[in-house]
Amino acid sequence: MNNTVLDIENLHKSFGTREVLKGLSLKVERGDIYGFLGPNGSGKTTTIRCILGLVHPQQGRVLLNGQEIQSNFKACIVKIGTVVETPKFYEQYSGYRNLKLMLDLYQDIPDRRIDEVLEIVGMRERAGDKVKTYSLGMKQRLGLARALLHQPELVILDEPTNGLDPQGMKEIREMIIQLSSEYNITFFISTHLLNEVEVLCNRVGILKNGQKIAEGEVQSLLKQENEALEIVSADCESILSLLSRLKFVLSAKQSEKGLHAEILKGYSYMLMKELVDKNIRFDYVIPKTQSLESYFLGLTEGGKNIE
Amino acid sequence: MSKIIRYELYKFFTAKKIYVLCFITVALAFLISFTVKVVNTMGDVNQRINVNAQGFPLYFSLEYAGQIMPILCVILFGGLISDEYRDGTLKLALLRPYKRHEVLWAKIFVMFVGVVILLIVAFVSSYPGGLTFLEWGNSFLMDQLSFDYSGFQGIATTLLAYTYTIFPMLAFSLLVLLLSILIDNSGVTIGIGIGVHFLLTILSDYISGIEFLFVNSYYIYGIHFFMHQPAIEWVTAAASIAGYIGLSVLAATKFFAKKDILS
Repeated sequence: MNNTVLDIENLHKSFGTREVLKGLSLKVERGDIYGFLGPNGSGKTTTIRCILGLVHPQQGRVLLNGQEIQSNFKACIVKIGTVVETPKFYEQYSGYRNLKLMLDLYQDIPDRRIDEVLEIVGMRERAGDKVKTYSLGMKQRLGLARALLHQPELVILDEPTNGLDPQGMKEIREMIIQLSSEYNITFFISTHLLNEVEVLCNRVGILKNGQKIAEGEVQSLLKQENEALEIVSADCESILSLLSRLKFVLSAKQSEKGLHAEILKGYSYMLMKELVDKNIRFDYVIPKTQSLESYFLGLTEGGKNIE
Repeated sequence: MSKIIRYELYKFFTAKKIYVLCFITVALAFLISFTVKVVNTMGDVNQRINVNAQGFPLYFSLEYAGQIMPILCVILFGGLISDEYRDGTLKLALLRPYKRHEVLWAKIFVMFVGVVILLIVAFVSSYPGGLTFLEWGNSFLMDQLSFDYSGFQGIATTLLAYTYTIFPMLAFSLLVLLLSILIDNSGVTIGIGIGVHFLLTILSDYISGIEFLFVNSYYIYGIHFFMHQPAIEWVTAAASIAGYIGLSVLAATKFFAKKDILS
C-alpha cells in the first residue's frame, strides 16, 4: 500500500504578475501530522486552495493516494476534510443545521454521524443555537466537526488556532492529536506559529516566498551537531582571545550579555575548565537549545538553505 | 445531482429575499389596480384605461413583466454567486463531491424556480388586486380590446401569457448570473444588471429592425401573442431566447469552472 497520502509536485501559481507558488513539491505520509510552516504571505493558503481545487495552478499536480485530484475530483474530495482559513457557515442556521446541510450532500451517511462529530468536538450542547451566536473558538470546533463528517483520511486545516485564546489553542491541539491517534487521520496543518508545530506535528515543511526551503521530521530538524553557549562576562576580550586558540570552538561572537559561542558537542566542560585555569572571570555559561523558532528564523531571515 | 439541487433550494427558500420580492409583487398588483381606478375616475376621458378585473391580470403583466420583474430578478439573482463568494460559503458546496458545473446548474435551476414563483405570485395576486378596485365585467376587457371569453377561458389565456414570460426572464436572469460570476460583488452586479436592463429597453426602442436580438423584446411576448399581433415570429422568438439561454449557460459554466475561489 502506498504510504504517501498527499503528494504535491512542482506547483506554480501566479496572480497577475505576482508569483505566489514557485515549483512547490512536498509529500505527506499516512499518519503524519504535517506542519506547513511559513510567514504570512508565503503561499500557505494558496497551496491549500490548489490542493482542494479552489484555485487552479498554472503548472504542477496534486495527488491523493496516487490519484490526481484534478482529474478524479469526486473520488478524491470525499477522502479530504478541510477548514480553509476562518471556518465559514450559514450564520442564520444552527450548528446542527449547518452540518445536516453538508451531510445531505454526501451519499449514505446516516444522520447519527452528526451527533458523533459534535460529541468529538464537544459541541453537542450548543448545536441547536444559531451559528451567529458562536464564539470563534466554537466556530473552529464546528469547522472541525464538519471536516470530520464524512470520515476523511486526510484533514487539511488552515491556521486552525488563529484568533483563539491560549485555552482554545490548547483544546484544538489536543483534539487534533487525539483524532490522529484514535482515528488514524492524517493531518496537514498550515500555521505561522512555531510552537504549534513543535507541540503538534511530527513532520514539517517550511515555506518561504512560495518555495519550500526545508522539510523533515521536526525532531531531526531540531537536533544539533554542535552546542551553543552563552558566556556571561564583563571580560569579553580575554575570553575571545582564549576561544580563538581552542580547537573545539567553532565560532564566537560578542553578544548583549557577553559572548555567544558555538562549540563541538561535549566540550562545554573543557571550555569552562580552560576559563578557570586561565583565571578569566565569568559569571555564567548558559547552554542555548535549538528551538524551531531559531531554526525557522535562521532559514527565513538569514536565507540559509539546508537543501 | 438532486442532492445539490435540494441544497440550493433549501438556501433559497430559507432566505428572506424571495419573500420580500413576492410581497412587493403583491403590493404592486394592488397599487397598479388602484392607479387604474384613480385614472379612470379622475383623469381625462382620453387617458382612461379600458380594463376590467377580468383583463387586469394581463394589463398588470404588461407593467410587471415589461418593467418591474427584470429589476426584481437582478436583485434576486445578482448575489447568487457573489454574495456566497463574499461570505466564503461558495466553497462549501465546491468542497463536496460535485463538479463545479453541477453546483452552477443547481443554481440555475433555483433561478428557474425563482422566476416561476414571481410570475405565479404576480398572476395570482393580480386577480384580488383587480377585483378590489375594478369591476369583474361581462367580457374580458383589456385596453382597447374586448374578447368574448368565459371566465375560465380568460384565466387560462392569461396564465398562458404569463407562462410565455418564464424563458425570456430566465434568459435575462442568466445574464445577471454571468455578471455575478465575473464581478464578485453583488452591489456592483445589481447596479450593472439594472443598467443592462435599461440599456436594452432604450436600444430596443430606438433601433428598429433588430428587435428580435434584444431579450427584453420577449418579456411580454405572451401578451402580443394573445392579442394576435406579435411583431416577431414565434420561431424567431424561440430561437433568440434559446440562443440567449444556451450562450449564457455555456459562458457561465466556462467562467465558473475557471474561477479561482479566494474567499
